[in-house]
Amino acid sequence: MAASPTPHKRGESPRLSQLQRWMQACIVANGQVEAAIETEAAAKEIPANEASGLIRPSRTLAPLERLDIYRGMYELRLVEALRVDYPGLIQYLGEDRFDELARLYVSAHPSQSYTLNRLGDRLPNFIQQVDGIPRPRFVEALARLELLETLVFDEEESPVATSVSIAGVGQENWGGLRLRPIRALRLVRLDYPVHEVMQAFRRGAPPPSLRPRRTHLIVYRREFGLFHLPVSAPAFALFQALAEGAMLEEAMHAMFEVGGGSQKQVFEWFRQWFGEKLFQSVEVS
Amino acid sequence: MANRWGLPDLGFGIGLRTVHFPHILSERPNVDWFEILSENFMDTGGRPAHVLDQVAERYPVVMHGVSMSVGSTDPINFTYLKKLKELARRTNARWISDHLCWTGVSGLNTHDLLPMPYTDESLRHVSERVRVISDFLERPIILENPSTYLEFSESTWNEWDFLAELAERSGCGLLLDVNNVYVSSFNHGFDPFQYVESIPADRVVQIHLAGHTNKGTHILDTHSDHVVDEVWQLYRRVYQRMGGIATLLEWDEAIPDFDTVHAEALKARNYRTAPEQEARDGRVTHAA
Repeated sequence: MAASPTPHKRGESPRLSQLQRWMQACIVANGQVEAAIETEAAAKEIPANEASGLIRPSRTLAPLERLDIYRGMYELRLVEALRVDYPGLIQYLGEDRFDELARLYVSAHPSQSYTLNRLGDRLPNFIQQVDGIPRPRFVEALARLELLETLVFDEEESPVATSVSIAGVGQENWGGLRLRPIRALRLVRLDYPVHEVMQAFRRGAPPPSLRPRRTHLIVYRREFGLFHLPVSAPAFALFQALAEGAMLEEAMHAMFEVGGGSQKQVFEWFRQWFGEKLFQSVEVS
Repeated sequence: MANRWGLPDLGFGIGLRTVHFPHILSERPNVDWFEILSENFMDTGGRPAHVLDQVAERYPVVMHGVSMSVGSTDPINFTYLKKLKELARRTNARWISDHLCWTGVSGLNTHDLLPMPYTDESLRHVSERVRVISDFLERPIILENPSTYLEFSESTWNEWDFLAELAERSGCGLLLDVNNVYVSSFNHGFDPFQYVESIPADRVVQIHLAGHTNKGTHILDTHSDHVVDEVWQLYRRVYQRMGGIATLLEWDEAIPDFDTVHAEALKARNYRTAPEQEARDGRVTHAA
């Protein structure tokens, strides 16, 4: 952050850096434009009583009305970016309530990036700080799943390993296998089965029960489509350990710590996971 | 008149937009070229990147950005520029453009094209940054005149002279957005024909056309409609003065089907007419 080299002197033209900091402070401030020019961030750059003098009036608009055009567009643009990432939240909360949440969020977490893609990354955590959100734990879970979908959507493509990759490995070496998931994949534990709610929204169907239910999901992309795969707690522990780089033997220990699974179940899980193309490589340590 | 870099007149292009991906991949439409919004493809490796790779194989691609923030007093973001350069390599981009504007300071990004005061200080500041950025990208950058909704009292240059001087000092090329000229002329009360007459023709590499929204008291550059006749007349004058220049139709809100957008872009052909031909046809040319 560049410091202002010289303070603005009354009646003199501000330096470019001061003018930009002033205009930005006015744009991101909440409330009316008349209040925006009096915020501490704006007034420390340009005294409020000099603000109108910085901008020429047009035939039809006064200086502050012209500034207000940029303020309105700022809010619209950022709220719209969040609307793209959180359609499920809009559907559950309704448009007005979502937009209000988005405005509060943008005010608390303005963009610091060249891209709007990751603007909403902190929205799930932010929800708990906002008063008046109905069923906030459910809404947070819904937001968390939508956020993961955006991350999976944007991930790089990676190669896909097939079960053939494992076929040539002798059974005595299975314990040393390392299975690396594809990049476009995330694991998440949620307190609600929000994936069922999202799927219902997408079908245009009424949402199922919103009662809490511990849910373990693999969220992944396959052939550019996004999918949720609900799994049991032991299967989740097994997959998570593999995703963190554990050998199969170590991952099985992690699975047994949360209740385990039979050999038949484990074979069935791997059959499904390879079928869904969830691994990019299989290596023998 | 060709631009000084010999960058080609690519014909009539349109912006590559998500809603048109299926049509483009399945129909392989006969479009001269595509412009991409750079930031939409810089950090994604999924379907957008897959589509872009296929488009770049079949069509000339030009990159147009909104976050270079060439006028900002924050430090230049070299992380951003590095990604921009990599994307240009990947797409074999014919050129890279952005806007004469700033988008944020103090580490924030408003994601808007904010207006510059047209002063000597701004001119020095932007010229130096353009030189640094062009050196990094190893190519001239092409800067677009933005639509603006306010003018600063301290400006001592008009926009067209500022752009001409900036191009001269920094070596940048220009993307002349004819709709933006019209929008700003309405908002600030200048003659749009004087603007296009004053822009150095040999610096202009590309032209933008778009629709806008007239709010009565001001016009917003919304890219949400057909190009209005006043903008077509300006485009005609630009052609008469500068010759054939790669022309792109932008449509970003309430985007209609692909064929409607493409047809709007191809209307530009009707306005690439010489004065003598117009005289033969009995058409009236604006007396600028």
